[in-house]
Amino acid sequence: MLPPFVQDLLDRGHDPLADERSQQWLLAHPEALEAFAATRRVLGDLRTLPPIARPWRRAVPWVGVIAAAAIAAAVLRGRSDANAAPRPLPRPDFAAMTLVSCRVSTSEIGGGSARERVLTGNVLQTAEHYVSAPTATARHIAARVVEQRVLEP
Amino acid sequence: MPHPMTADRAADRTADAAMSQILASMQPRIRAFLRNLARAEVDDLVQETLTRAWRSRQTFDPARGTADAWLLRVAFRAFLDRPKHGGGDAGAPASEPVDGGCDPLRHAALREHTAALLAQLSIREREILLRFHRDGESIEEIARATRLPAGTVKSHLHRARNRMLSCETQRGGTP
Repeated sequence: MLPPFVQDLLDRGHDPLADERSQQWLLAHPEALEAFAATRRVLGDLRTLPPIARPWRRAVPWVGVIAAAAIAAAVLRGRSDANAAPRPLPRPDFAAMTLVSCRVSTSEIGGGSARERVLTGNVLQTAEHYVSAPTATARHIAARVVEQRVLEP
Repeated sequence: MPHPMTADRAADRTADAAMSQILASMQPRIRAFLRNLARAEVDDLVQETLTRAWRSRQTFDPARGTADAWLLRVAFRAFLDRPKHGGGDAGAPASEPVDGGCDPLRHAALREHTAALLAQLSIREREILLRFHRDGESIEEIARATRLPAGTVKSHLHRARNRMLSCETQRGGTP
């Protein structure tokens, strides 16, 4: 275990090996030398790892997410009711409408440029789809790009 | 009965042969240890370590510790005593170049090793460790972003580092 003063140095962004107290501690604990050196190297190398986009920067393909969730739910329902007769799925609140439109804006950042896309999606919902094939809902999600522009860096 | 001087010389020769064997067998481990510390100057430091160890071989006392620990301490002292160029690499480890940058295989192995270590952490620990050491965020910034008290962020960070150290200890610290 790293002693608290070494953790404190790392918290402040200092190199423990430049600190006299840490050096003395390591000389007194030679059994920790190799693991400490390897850990220090890994911590230093982390900065060279490619950064992962923050959630608010990441492109969010909502239409895909909705479709995947619908398929997963349908598959799970299909498995549990494998031997049972098809029965209607519970309708969501907006089920009275036969067509639900969605308009989603996504942005992609990477490679020194940013791009914004606006997608529209239509989700068809009819009683037939719910009764005959639970996955029909997912199949009837259609999306198309209506607008695409490159943002100023 | 052999002459006392002859017996002493024979004992010395036996001890020297044993030390030669220890140095030869430990050389890869010393190199790996120093490579983690000093990157570019490894060859010089290994040479310096072996020279120092040989010169001071009489000071090694098996009753006070293992030959491994003694040699690693010699190597660490050689690292600390090395001439520093332009401030040396005793600065923040994050400012150093990636080791093995010119060797794609070693570079890939290091990446893989780092990924394996990160996989040992919990999701929260990994997130906080990466935010701090990779993205350069301060503890306060991480606390705001994760909506955790700064003390809790610190605890996660310390636990993550200790877990990494523990994994390195188990595998000998030589990626």
